[in-house]
Amino acid sequence: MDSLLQIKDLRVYFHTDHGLVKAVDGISYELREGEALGIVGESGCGKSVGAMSILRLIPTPPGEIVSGAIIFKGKDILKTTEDEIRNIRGNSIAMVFQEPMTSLNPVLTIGYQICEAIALHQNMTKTEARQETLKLLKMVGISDAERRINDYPHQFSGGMRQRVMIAMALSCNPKLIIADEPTTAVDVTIQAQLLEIIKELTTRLKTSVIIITHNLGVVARYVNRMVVMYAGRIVESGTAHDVYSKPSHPYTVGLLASVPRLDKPRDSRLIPIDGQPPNLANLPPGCAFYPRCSFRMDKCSKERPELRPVEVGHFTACFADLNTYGK
Amino acid sequence: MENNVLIDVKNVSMYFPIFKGLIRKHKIADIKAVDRVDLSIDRGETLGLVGESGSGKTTLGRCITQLLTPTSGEIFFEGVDICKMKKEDLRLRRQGMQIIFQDPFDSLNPRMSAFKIVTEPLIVHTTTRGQGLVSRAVELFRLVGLDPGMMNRYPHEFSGGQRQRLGIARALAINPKFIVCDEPISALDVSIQAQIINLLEDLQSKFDLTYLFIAHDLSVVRHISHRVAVMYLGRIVEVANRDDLYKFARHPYTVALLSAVPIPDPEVEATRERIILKGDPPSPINMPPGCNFHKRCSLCTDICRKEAPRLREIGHKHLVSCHLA
Repeated sequence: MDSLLQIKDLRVYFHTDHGLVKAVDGISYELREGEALGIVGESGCGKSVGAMSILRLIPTPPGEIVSGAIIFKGKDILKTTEDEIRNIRGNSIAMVFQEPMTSLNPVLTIGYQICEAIALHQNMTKTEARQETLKLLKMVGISDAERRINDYPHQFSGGMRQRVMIAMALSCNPKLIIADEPTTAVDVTIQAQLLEIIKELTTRLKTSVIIITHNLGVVARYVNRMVVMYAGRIVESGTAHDVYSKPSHPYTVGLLASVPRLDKPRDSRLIPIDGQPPNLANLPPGCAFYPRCSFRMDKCSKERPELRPVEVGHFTACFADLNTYGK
Repeated sequence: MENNVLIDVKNVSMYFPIFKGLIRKHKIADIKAVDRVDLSIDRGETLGLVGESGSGKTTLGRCITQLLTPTSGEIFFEGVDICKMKKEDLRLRRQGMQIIFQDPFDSLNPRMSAFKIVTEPLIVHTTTRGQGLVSRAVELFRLVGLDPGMMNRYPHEFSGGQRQRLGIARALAINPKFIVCDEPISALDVSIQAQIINLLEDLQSKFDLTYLFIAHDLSVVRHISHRVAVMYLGRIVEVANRDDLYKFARHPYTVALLSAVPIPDPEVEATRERIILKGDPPSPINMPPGCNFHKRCSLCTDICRKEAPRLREIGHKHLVSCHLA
């Protein structure tokens, strides 16, 4: 498989009143064609900022893409002109945002909003665009599409709105869909529906997809590879199988241990990760996870661990070898 | 035998009227947020209440704490019906019940210091003042794992998890017997959630607390609850002891909910069958006749479309509201 997207040493900094916040501090990863990648991390770890940078959607100021390269189909997105990036947005790379109510325009019908994207990027007449929109709405499972195409966003439930967003994202046959916490604002049953739709459609249309989430459980079923982020850096990456079965960074280990699992017998105690999430404006000099880590060594407080391979295609940014601890 | 029931909810309904018209305002319908619910909670027990958003679980929690007065029905707290109480009696009775809210950002007054937030219930309900307040606040801070040195800070200086601890300290201030935990962890980071769950469990065994734990995350509810009730569109569809519910769920909605819970393991997920519910929950304004789940139910038969099932016992303390169970 060919590489579709390559991110190389991306750094995105924000200049705030509290000082320089390194929201994304040197991340690199690669996405192949037709692949599903999960980016996992808690709020403030830089997962959304990293993804927004791909479409150059970082508000400047206060944000700034300081360095790095984002190679999409052989071309560096960071070096394109404003016109070129406009052409990429929505056309080759589409985004599904977390909160469907705030990302849809409340005063336009959903039909109009989807047609707009199609008409803009695909040179279709109004009637053709409308036909195409109907097809898309049916594809994402909106019943009675002929009638609902004229409805406004407030007439839809949260799950339906998110389906409209997915339809909109698919409208121009993009090569890549970035779904930023697509299921956080909806219920479990709807969450399952939406992810099935994304999975099914992306497989059928051979679209690559990046799913950003804070919930390790959500992506297990749907992604091929995973990237775990903490405090603006990648702490672990690998195939979903490797990351879940042989987690090699104490943070990943902690995340997996701290959530109760329905398929396992109920434990009497949960094992939380101690301490608080880091303050990005004031990070410790060594490893950012050092204050919360249960495997910490003296070395970790002074020196920052770089990503190193644990096995083929599986990387961790930790000095400790967790597998020798019997993990 | 001593009566062990702390909270007894009998046939409680909470309807919110919808009005139409600007000049001649008239009622056109009711939203049946909670519809004829029976539920009881024993002393020292944690009852988990799960359901999708809009199923009425928060409304029920608020009725029980009398933050809302139900349209009809009775709620007994320690054997006394609190719905018909006079204001002053209710205020006294309320010392026994507290609530922890979902969003630790909205539920703390940004202009009050942590000390003021935590001691406010003491000022309202007790005669403790001055040094007594300070020593109680120090005690409460330690109890929930906060540094008493942070007492004079304001909510924005705390992180999400710390703020939720403040909310818990406030709820504990007047030694309640019963606490409604309304989605206490869903606004928190995954790495912090387990800390709060453990804290709630420790406090329960220390003070013999009774919890109504409202949540939509079924794996967390299994962890913390002794009994679990599942709500759908204002009605309880299934209640059972924790292990019975998770092993022998009988209502098709419960079964679907359980199968939708993601498991953080690609191996398990690869072989797991999932029941994907079709569509969204219907609007509570115009509920379908018959069982309110029938439009999404895969087992739906004729009787389900005509007649609403009643909650009935099918096993030891296992109640289901389904014709087919």
